[in-house]
Amino acid sequence: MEVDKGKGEAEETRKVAEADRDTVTLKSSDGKLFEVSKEAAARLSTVLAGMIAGGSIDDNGTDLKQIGSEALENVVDYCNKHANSIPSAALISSSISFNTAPFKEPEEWERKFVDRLSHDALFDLVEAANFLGMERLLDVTCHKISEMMKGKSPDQIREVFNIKNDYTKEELEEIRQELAWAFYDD
Amino acid sequence: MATAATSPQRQSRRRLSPPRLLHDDELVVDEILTRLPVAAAVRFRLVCRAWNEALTSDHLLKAHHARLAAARQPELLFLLPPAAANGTAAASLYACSLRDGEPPSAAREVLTIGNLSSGEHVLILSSPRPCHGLTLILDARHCSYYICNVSTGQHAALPPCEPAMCSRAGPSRIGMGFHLRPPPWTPFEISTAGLGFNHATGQHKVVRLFKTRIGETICAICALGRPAGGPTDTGWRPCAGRVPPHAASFIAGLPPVFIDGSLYWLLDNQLDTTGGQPPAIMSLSVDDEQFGFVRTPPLLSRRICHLTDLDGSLCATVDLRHVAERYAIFAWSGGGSTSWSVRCSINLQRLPRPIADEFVEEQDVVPLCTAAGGNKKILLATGRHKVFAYDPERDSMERLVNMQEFVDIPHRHREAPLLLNISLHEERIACVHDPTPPDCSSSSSSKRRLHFRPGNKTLGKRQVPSNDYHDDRFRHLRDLFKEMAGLPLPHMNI
Repeated sequence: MEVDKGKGEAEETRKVAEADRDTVTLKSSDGKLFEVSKEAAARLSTVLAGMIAGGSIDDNGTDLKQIGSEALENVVDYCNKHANSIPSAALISSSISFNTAPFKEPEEWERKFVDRLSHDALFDLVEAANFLGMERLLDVTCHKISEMMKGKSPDQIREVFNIKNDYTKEELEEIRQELAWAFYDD
Repeated sequence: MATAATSPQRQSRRRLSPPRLLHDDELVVDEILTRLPVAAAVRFRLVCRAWNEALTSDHLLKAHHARLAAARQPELLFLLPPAAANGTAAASLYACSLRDGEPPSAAREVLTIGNLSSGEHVLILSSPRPCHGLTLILDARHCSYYICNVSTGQHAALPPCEPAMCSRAGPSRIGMGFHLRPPPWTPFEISTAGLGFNHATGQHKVVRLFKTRIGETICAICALGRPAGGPTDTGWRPCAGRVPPHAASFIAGLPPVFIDGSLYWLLDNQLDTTGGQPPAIMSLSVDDEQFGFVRTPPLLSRRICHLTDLDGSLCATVDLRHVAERYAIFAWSGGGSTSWSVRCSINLQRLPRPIADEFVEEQDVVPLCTAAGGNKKILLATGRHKVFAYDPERDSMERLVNMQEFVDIPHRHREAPLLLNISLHEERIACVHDPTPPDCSSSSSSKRRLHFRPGNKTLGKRQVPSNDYHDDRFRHLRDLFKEMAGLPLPHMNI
C-alpha cells in the first residue's frame, strides 16, 4: 500500500513537471532522443495524446521501441512543421482499420515533405505513423505511395515491395487473360 | 545521447531486409491498396497470390469503394458523339471533376468507343451514375447492348436480343422530357433497358422491356456472373414476375432508374387505356423480379417529366419553366409510402435575367446530384451539354460547365436527341462477367462489335463565343405564355 501511494505521489510530481514544459522528449529504438512540441504531438498522434494525458511521458525520453531514429526524426520533423503551418480542424480519429473521412489533398509543404523521402524511409514512416495513431501523416504518406505505385508494372511493384512472385506460369497467364483489358498506363 | 541497449535485435533485422512492408501486412491492404486508382488496383492482382486474394476480397472492395466515395468530389462523365466523318468513327467519354463545386478547368478522356460508323448513336443507359461500378451502353443502330466498367475499360457484349416492334417515323414521347420528338434514328425500337444490381447474389442484371412485333409487352433479363452457389445463367430469359398490363405504357428509349435494389420506370399515363387512374411509376425488384407501382398524388402523376436518382432517393421532376417559370424536384420517401415532398423548387422569376434566359433555353433538364460543400447546390444537367448549379439557400444559379468549352460537339448533336450526354462518373473495382453462353460466342462475333479503349488525352478549357449556343425558341415560347398570363394555362403537352 505504502509503496503504491509513494509511486502515485511521484507520478503526480512528474505530471506537474511535465505540464510545465511545452515539449516532450521521444526516444527511438536505437536510443536517439528527439524533442517535439507537446501541443502538436497531442494534436497529431492519438497515441502520444494518450500518453501525455495519462502521464506516461518520460522526461528523459519516452521509449518508442518500435520506431527507428530515421523514422522518428521524420515524425518529429512533420509534427514541428505542422505546428508551424495553419492548424486544420481536429485530425484525430478513432482506431478504425481504414479511415473513411474525406481525404484532404496534401498541402504543398506536406507534398514536399514526403517527396524528399526514399522508398524505405517512406515505408518506415508509414509504420511509425500507424503505430503512433497519426491519421493525417498516414494519409499523406500512403497517398504518396499509391501515387508512386500507379504507373508501375507488377514487376516493378514486386521490386519496390520486395515481394516474391509466387505464381506459376500458367496461373499468371490465366489472370493476365482475365485482365487483358487492364494493361495500359493510367 | 544514444543508448545502445535499445532493441538492437530489431535494428539488425530491419537492416537485413530492406523494403519492410510485407505483403500480408494489414497496413498494406487497408492503407495502400485501398488508395490505388481502380485500373492499378486491378492490374496489381498479378503481383503475387496474396495481393490477388486481397484485391478480390469483399473487405478490400468495400474499403476501396468507401475511400473513393468519401474522397470523391462529384465527377461528370460526358459522352462526345462521333464526329460526322467518313469511315469508322469513335465516341469518347470525358470526365471532369467538380472540386468544391468549382467549374472544372480540364477534362480527361476516360474511354473511347470505336468501330462506329459516322452518324451512329451510342447511349449511356445507366444514369445518372453507374450501377455498382458498371455502365450499360447501347449501340442504337445495331440494337446491341454492352456492359462496361468505364474506369478500367473492361467490357462485354450482351447476347443478341429479340427484335422489338419499331415506332413510326412521326414524333412521339420517347426518351427524356414531356415533349414529342421524332425518333433520332430509324428503325427505332420500342424498348427500354436498365441495369440493376442484386446485393444478395452480387449479380448485375440487365432488364429489357419491349414490345414484340405483335404488340405484346415482354420483360427479358440477362444476368451477369454466377450467383453465389447457383449455376451461371447465360443469355436472355423471361423475367420471373408477371408483367402487369400497365407496363405497356413504358416510354420507349427512356431507361429505368436503379435505386436500392429496384428499377423504376416512368410510365406515359396518356398511353394507358386500362381506365381509372393509371400509375405513373412502375418498379421491379431486381432480387425476386416482381413488379410493383409507386403511388403518386394525382396532381403529380400527370406532370412528372423525368425520374432520377438524386443522392440515393427517387426523385421526380416537374418542368413548368415555359408555362409558369418553375422547375421543381419532388422526392419520394420510399418503402410503400405514398408520400412525396418538394426537394427543391426553382422560381425562374427570382433568378437574374441572363441566367434565367439561358436556363429556359434548355429543352431537357435532369438533376444529377448535390455538389460537395456546405451549401447543398443541386447540379442540373441539360440537353445542350451544360451543367447548372442551383443554390436553394441563396436562390441563385450559375452555369458550371458548358461541354463546348472542352470539345467540339458535332453540329447535329448540339442538342441531345434522346437522353442526356452527361452523367456522373464513379470509379469502382467491379468486374464485368461475359454473359454470352460459350456456344453463342461464335455466332455473335460475326456481328459488328464496338471497340472500347481507355482514353489518354487531357483537354484544357477554351473560350466559347456566347452566341454559339443560343436558341431563342424557348425564350419566345416563355414570353408568349407570359403575355397570355391571366388566360388559363394551356395543356402541358406542348
